[in-house]
Amino acid sequence: MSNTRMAILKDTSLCVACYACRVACQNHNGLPENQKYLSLQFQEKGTFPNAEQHIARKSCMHCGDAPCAEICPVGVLHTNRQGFVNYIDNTDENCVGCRLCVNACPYDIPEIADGKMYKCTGCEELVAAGQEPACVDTCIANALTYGTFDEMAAKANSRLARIRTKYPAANLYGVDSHGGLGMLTILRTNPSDFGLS
Amino acid sequence: MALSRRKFLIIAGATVAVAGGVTAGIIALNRREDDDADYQAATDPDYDDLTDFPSYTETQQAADVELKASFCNACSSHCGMWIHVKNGRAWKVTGHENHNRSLGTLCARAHGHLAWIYDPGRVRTPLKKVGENQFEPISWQQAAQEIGNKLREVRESGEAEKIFWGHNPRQTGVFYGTRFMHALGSSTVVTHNAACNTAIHCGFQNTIGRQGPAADLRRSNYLMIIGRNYGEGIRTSQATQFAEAIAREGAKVVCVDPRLSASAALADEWVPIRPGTDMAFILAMCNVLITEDLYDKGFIAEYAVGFDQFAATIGRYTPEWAEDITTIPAETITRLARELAAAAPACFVDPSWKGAFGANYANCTETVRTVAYINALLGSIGQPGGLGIGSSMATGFGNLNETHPAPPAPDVPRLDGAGRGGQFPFAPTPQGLPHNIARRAMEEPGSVKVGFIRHFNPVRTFPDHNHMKTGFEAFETLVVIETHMTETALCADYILPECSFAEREEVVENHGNTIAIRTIAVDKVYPETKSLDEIIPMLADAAGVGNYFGFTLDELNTARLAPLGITLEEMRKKGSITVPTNPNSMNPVIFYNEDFAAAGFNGVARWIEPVTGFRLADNQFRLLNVKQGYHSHTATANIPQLGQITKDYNTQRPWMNATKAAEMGIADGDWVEITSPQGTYRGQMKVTELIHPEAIAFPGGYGNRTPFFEFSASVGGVNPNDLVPFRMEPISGHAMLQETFVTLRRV
Amino acid sequence: MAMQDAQMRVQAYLSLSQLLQRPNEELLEHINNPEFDKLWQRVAGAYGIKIPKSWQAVNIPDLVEWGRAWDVTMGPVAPLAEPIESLYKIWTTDESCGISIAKEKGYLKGDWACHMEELLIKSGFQIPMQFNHCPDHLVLELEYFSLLIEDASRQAQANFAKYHLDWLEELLKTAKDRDVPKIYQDLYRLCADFVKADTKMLI
Repeated sequence: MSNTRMAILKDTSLCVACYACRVACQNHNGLPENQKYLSLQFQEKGTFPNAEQHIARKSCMHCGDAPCAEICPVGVLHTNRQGFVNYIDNTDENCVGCRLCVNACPYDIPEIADGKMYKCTGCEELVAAGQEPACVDTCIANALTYGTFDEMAAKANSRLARIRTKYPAANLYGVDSHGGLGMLTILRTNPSDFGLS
Repeated sequence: MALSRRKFLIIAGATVAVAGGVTAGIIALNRREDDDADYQAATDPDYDDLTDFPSYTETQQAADVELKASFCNACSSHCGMWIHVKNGRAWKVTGHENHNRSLGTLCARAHGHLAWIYDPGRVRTPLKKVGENQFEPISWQQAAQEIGNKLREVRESGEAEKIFWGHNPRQTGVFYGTRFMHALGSSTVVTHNAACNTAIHCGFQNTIGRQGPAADLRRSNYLMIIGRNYGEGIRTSQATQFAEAIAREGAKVVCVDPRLSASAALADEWVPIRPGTDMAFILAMCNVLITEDLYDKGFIAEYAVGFDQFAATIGRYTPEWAEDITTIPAETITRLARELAAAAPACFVDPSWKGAFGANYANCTETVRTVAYINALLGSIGQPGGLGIGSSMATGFGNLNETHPAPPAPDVPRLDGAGRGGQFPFAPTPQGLPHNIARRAMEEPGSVKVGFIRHFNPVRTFPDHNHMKTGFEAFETLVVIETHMTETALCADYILPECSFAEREEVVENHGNTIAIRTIAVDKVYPETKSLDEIIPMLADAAGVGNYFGFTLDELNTARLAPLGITLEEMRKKGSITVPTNPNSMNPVIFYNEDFAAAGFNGVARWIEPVTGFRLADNQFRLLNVKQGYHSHTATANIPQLGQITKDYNTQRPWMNATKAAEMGIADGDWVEITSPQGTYRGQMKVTELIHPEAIAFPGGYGNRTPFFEFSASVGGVNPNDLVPFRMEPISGHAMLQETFVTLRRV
Repeated sequence: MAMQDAQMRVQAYLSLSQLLQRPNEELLEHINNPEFDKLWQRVAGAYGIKIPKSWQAVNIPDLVEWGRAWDVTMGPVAPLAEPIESLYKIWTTDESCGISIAKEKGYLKGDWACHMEELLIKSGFQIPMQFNHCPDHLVLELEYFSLLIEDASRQAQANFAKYHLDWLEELLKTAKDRDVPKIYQDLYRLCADFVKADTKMLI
């Protein structure tokens, strides 16, 4: 199996916030209704009638330099073949719930339940079998796509040309952040509007 | 002698009658003492091994997963899907790749609603009402006999037309429900549409001569979408096509909506409009197209009837006139009209759904007629990228008429006043007016003998809960066929438990070029639940018209598929099949409608205001009833996975404009009293720049009144139908879901 | 404490199982039978667990009222606290399940129900129709356990107690939280206490 770095691309300019991704993710990953690997953030800009609604996805960004994996005292996290940060062997058995990863995360992502850290795993068992992550597979608005990091970056750049005609600040977030992210995001507004740097 | 013997375990193969059946509850078997031998296990099982739960689960986990064809039941789009089944239990769902409404993907509701199958809150046995919200279990035999006796009595007294059937019209209900009514001698079948899109059906029927035109999202260069919210009023494939249009080079998407919906938020342009004034906006664009000579004269010459009469009226509908009414600047209206003309004919003004003018105001039917007008002016009707008029199966479904002739449609008046000769001659008769049946039942005692409602909740989804509840309780007998204890079910004299969507096979359906079947994916969880093809023949038998149902569902489906050369087995296996279609033919476009004129309505659609007007007093707001993509009206907030989304984001809150809120001292998240002439409710507000200052948008999915929906109760929210009075639009009779103003008071 | 005599244990499980059925004359007879009192006095002697006051023959309400209490507790219309194992356990332990209820409590036909179904069928029984949705109903589990006491090894009894009779405290808590009529809260407490005391030596 190749080790080509993969990425999920979220195009927020197409997201209708229907939460099919959240629900498909919960179902695939066996999460109870009040736990989730991904949430949406909303940011209003401007005033009526020139108001805009911007969206960002909050979920593990799968940092290239993965500070969470770096700091884990029991070494249960790693960057997998697809470039996603996951538990080694996809099992949280040895996680001690120490919260060091929670504190180290630049995006404030990991949460703890029942003494274990949980976050998006990049659906390792699906993508390793040649399928798409559960959120991507069910997206009804083509706002989520999955492919190699380079393909996703190129796709985003061609999409940005059109979006910038209306949103000059539109940008692709994540190519250079924290060693490059496995979760790339097309934003219509500045990353700082969502606290991203 | 031992005090107790085993009384519940039954030896395999023994035929033991349980006294009273399931309905009696858990009752010990009354067996003779000398049967004691029976209480012992017949075999010599390896108990050590059998009781080892972990090893059992290991075996279970190794089992294969099977795919069963179905379609989603979380809304009436019926998107095709596969139910994955493991060890006889539903395991997950995926979109059916060949079904034209899902195209391989599913929305949140489809993923969430599998919980219904294993929900302990389902209706488990036939129930008979014994008091307010109180029911006692009865047997099917008793239910059928009592309902059958009532039906016989009504028929014998020559009052069969006082029976009706109400449902959300999909093939299984249309076939069995309509046939049942006809067999009994009633002509009344009503649907949800009068609280959804009856004006759309009526308006297009009386202009382009057919119902249900659909925008060609895939090929359009200019999409003007008024009120329709593709991203949140989800039909999966349309949401996908909407997003494709957003991304398509050279296409422009304009959303006209008082609220920046999730769809409008993605559009190239958002045009906020004063609610209830879409018609003025459209008429002004027509004015621009005609006065600037931008309309498609060839199309008008070929198809228009009465265009000159319309043209003669438009002088007054200037963009300046419309600005005053709509709050959209005149220059914007002019520019949009010109842009549409420049893109014609691969452009459209969207036919919409419930959205802005499906059933909201007194002017909705007339608004829809103007939507037809403007698309005709643009020459877009029936054109690629325009207002599509659909296609029909090249070879239609077969039927059982030779072996089992259908009962003739009885020539008796409808109960709801819809259709020719009735109070609402232009109300589409396959849809009808359930809220008018409620009115009649209250005003004319004895006018409604027996109502049947299947998987449809008009008492909650039509405006004015009190009107609907009191009316439905005034029927001599109400029978509700349901899976859950809905508000409508609570009004019923009898609730008959249908098995869930995953436990029943249904009549083969058709949507455009897709035919699809729902198959039995899992065994019934509750053995006393039945599918409609079992329930109707049983009731028909009891009523003395069983002769019309002397066939099985398999025979029916086989006959339907026969002309297509498809076997039932193949259909079940494939689930969804694409069939050849022919494009529908163009009809004339009726600008001047003689029937309307003869009935005292306007021959040419003319501007009329909402019945409540559109100019607001201080502290008055127009109520909007809006959709969210993860709920289907009030049917899904009780599914914890979906209701939790609402809780996490507090999306049960009505939206109000930030400037208005500041004037009133209301901050985001504040609780207020919301008052309409119907009553006062407490609600927590979302304060936002994303809505017109005159509107308050209520998500329609909350505020269940059934005490049986516990999770939904914890979600909270105010249901807009509680704030809107019973009304009927004069032309098509729809329920006018947004004809009210509300006022707010900080608390 | 030594394992109590099997006959007493069997009778106590069967008695509990009967008490859980919808009240009728036969159940009244069971309670009025002097043997009932004797049995539970023996249990009290062995385990220190007494039959609650509300279940003593003199305190049993009239059948109509009693039936109503049963209906709201575990009847077929919107019961407050049905004694069904699946409702108190996650739906499945199988990680491959992609349905929202997989790790939720409160749904029917979970793993433990499927296991009960298999246990009953492989032991030579059929699933009575009224238990189709709940082969893991407490009355069946108590009866089945009484059978294991008579016929099966201590290991099998231990397995069953460990895997299928470990949810009664949750049932009791739910009954309390949801204000189930006192007579049935008392019965659930009796079930929980008795099972705990009786199986302590097994597990």
